[in-house]
Amino acid sequence: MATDLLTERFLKVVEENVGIVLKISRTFASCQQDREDLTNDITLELWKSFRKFKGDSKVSTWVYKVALNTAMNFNRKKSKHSFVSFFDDVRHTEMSDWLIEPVYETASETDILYSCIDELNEIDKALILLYLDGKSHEEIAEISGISKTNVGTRIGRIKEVIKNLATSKK
Amino acid sequence: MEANELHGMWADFDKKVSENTRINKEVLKRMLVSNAEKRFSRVTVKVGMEVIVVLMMVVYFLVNHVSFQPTLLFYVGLTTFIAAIGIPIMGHIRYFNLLNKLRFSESVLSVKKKINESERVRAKNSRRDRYMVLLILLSAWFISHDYSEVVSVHSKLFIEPVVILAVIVSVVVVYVITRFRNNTLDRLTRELAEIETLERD
Repeated sequence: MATDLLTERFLKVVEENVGIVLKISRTFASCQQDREDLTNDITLELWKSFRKFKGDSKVSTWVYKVALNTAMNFNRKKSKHSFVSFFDDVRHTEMSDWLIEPVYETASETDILYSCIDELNEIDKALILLYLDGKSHEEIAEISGISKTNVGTRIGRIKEVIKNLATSKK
Repeated sequence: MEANELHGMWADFDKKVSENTRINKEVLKRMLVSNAEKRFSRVTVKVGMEVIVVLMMVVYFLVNHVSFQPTLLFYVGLTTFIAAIGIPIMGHIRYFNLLNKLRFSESVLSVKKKINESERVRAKNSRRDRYMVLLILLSAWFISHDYSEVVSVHSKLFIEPVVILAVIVSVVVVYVITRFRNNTLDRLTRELAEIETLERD
């Protein structure tokens, strides 16, 4: 009974924050297959830590932390666990169809923005995502663990880099 | 592309994603129940299997190929053998513990730091394991041969093989220590320094 209630609460959280998960998956995974795997990975990590989430921060802050950490760990984990790839294969065939995503128009301005973000390093990707989602410097510092002063400086630099990249790609 | 343009573009995309994405709760529920626990045990299964296989091989070897000899050489060989097996196992268990301590609900830098630490342990483990194989083979050779007649404690010759073993062990240890710094460790050290700079005001 308690587990059912917990599951229902979790599904509601996923429903409300699925946008964050999708944006992070699209930013950190390069192909469609990886994006799906990463989306599943993030959802499972969220589920694993949901029981321990005491509500001491905003739900979206918690979702960002778990999703960004999973995404940053995704590529490392993919190459390191070839020994247990058998389990991955089993998992992959079992997971699908829970998410119905919109079909994105090709070569839109958002694609250009994503291709610019793709050229940044992992931490800068995380920072610009948080910035674009309208998070304050304080929230970005809380999620990333970077000091507030460094957040401001770093975001300024990233914006400059993106501006230059976007100009050259247009 | 100015900051407000970026924000505008992002907000439009965000709206499109939110409005058009649907989740099938029943399918997601089934996935959570059937996969979460399985995934949690992946690292445990890997490390557990490694440790069990090594321990089984050690027990098989000790039972079938080693007979107790009350000689100094045997004791030295056995101690070296147990240490050469035990130290890598401890290293792998430490790596497993570090991975188990990872909590993705912590801040990004904090998790990165912990991953960095676990990667360092993994790099050290894999390098040390290679050298330990030599030590395991040498000590296994020493304890699986009957030297009681030739070099018992009462024999004048008993010191010679002990010296040889000590020299081999010293050479291996010095080689491991001097060659321990490698590119992976250097890269991880640089990454750690960068993380610590970002944490400071």
